[in-house]
Parts: sequence; structure tokens; C-alpha cells
Amino acid sequence: MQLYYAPGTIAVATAIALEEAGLDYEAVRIDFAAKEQAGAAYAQINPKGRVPALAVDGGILTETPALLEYIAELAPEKRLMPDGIIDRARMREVISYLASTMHVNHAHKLRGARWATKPASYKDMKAKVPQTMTASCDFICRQGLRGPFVLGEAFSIADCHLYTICTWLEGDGVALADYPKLQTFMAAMEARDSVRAVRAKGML
Amino acid sequence: MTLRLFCTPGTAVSAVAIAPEEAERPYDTVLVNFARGQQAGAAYARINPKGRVPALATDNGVLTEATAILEFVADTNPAALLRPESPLAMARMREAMSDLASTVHVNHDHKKRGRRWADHPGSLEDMTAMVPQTMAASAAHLQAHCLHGPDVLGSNFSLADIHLFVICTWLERDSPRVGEFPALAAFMARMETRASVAAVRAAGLLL
Repeated sequence: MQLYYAPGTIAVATAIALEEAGLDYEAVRIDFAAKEQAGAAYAQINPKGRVPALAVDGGILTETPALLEYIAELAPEKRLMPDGIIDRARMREVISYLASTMHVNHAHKLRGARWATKPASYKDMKAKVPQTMTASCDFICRQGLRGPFVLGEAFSIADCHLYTICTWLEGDGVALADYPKLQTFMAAMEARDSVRAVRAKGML
Repeated sequence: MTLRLFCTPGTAVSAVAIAPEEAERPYDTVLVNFARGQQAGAAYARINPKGRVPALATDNGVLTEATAILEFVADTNPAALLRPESPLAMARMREAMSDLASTVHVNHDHKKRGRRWADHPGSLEDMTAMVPQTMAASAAHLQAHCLHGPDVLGSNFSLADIHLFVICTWLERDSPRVGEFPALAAFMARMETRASVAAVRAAGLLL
């Protein structure tokens, strides 16, 4: 498998999951500074011009929630997803919130051109990011994170996703120190071999 | 298990209602009136503190997020075959659903829900004005990369078809160029022939 990624992006969540699953993969770095993600070569990999993309036998897969579950299914013995139907729904609920609300809030800091055309709008969007990310942290601490992990004691792929988004918080104007529950979660994640491996590879 | 779906016509809820119809699984509906701001009220906050629909009340608590609820319906009704067998096909299905939830639906929300991400009236107008363009780009993407045949997965019905159908019902209102996407139009016409879609339409959940 080849994982197309850029350091510090949401692709890190997929890398952590691959490490947790113990699957071999080649990390292929896409140079965002040189706009490689928007180039013709990368369009052959992912026409959306985003990371992550995972090349597997049978094709190229994109979208973090899909990749996380795919990886968990490839390594059932690692138990990266819960067995119970309700717990599985809870896990997916958090992953969907992270992908379609919290990540989207964050994206309004630097990706305003996706949704508006005027510099004044970008400035307005960027100014609101600390507020929307704070609201997302409040919500996650109240409804999404049982502690220490998303589903309580059991680790799951939702933790890979939440961890990666939380590495953005300081840059988004949210102090992790204001959220002791998230601090405990982040410390638990930093202690895992998967996160250490991804950090050692320079992906964070 | 009793299922109670909190819904507002014309929202992503219709997707969630089509799934139990496909599974022939009974459910109750409770209307949440957006025009009266009920989604932001104290009573609904006890159901879904995010103040959004859909929310599905089960015997084990309230579930939110369309993709999670759709998968829950598939998990609890395995005989309905709402998902494919192979991990690769499953990932394709989830790829489409994630794309719909976190890119296409988000593009659509910039028409009327810009206040989530900006404050100034000028920014909100700017966002609204760009929606026809982002939704036309989304439609082009969905037609070229999300439909792998007549259905999302080629010729196997799945949860992703339900999700795609509902989001495509917004295209006509969001983008004047939807007629340029014949494969999407054919997909929509086929979906309209399904009993599940007819039932949800008869219940007034599709606008």
C-alpha cells in the first residue's frame, strides 16, 4: 500500500491507523508548499487534489472515515473497532462529526477560497476559527470523548482521527490546557507506539 | 427496538428515512420545525445538543450524523443487504458517503448556514453567491468519480445510493447547471422508481 500524505494534515490519522494495524505501507509525501496536490500528476491519484489517498490492490481509496474502517477491517485481530452495534454507531458518529463539522471548521482558516471569493470574507472566516474550534472542543468533551479514549477504555480508529485534529488546536487559537479531558487523551495517544512511529517518520 | 426519527422535510433526514424503508423496518417520525427554530430550542437540545437533524432515538440512546445512522440501519437489518461484502467495495461506499457529508453537503450549507463560519453580512452574501459554482463542481465530481455505473457501486444498491439521491435533490435549487449531468439525472430517475423513495416522498419528507 502507498499512503499519499502531507505532514500535519488529516492524512496522519490514516498513518496512525496503519501503524496500529501493523500493516506495511510506503508513505509518499506530497509537497503542499509546491502545490503538488493540485498538479496533473497527483490528479491521477486523487482528482480532488487532497490527501490522504491510499493505493491498494484494486484501486485508490480516499476519505479518512472510509480509509480508517478499511484498515480496521484488514486487521480484525487488532480490534480497532468495537463489536457492539451501538458502540460502532457511537464511533462512527464521532468520526462523522470530526470529518464534516470539526475539520470543516478548521478548514475555514486557510481554505476559505473553497467557499467564497473575496479577501474580506476569508479574513472574516479566519477570525471565527478560534470560536468554532472552541465550540467543537466543548462538544467533543461533552458528547464525543468518554475518556481516556473516545469509546472509554477501548482504543478505536476514532482516536486516530481525533488525535490528528487536536494537533491543530493550538494553531487554531484553542488552548489544550483549557480541556483537561483532551489533554489526558492526547497524552495517552503520544504514549502509543503508533503515534511515536508516525512522529519519527516526520509526518507530524 | 423502537426507532424514532427526528426530522425536517428536505434535509439530510430524508436519507436516513429511506434506509429503514429499504429494510422494511418500522419507525416513527417527529417533526422538528426549522421555520420556528425548534432545532435550537431547549426541548430538542435534550435529543441532539448539536441542534441539527437527523437524530434517531433508539432503545440505547440517541444517534446523530447521517452516515452513522445509515450504517446503524444496515447493521441492525443485515438481511436487507444495504452494504456490499468486500472490504474494497465497502470502502468505495464509505468514500462516497464521506465525500457527500463533508464536501458536498458542506458546500450546500454555505448557501443558508454561512453564520456557522463567518459573521459579516458581506461574507455571507459572498458564500451564498458561490454555491451554484461549488455545487456544479460537486455534481461534476459525483458524476465522474462517485457513480461507478448506474449505482454508486456499479450495479449493487447500497447506503451510498440513498445518501447520493438525497443530496442530489438539492442540486436543482443550488445550481442552474444540473441538467448538464446526464448520468446523475438517470441515477435520480431510477431512484424515484424505488418504493422506499416513494414512501418517504408520500410522508412529505422530500421537498
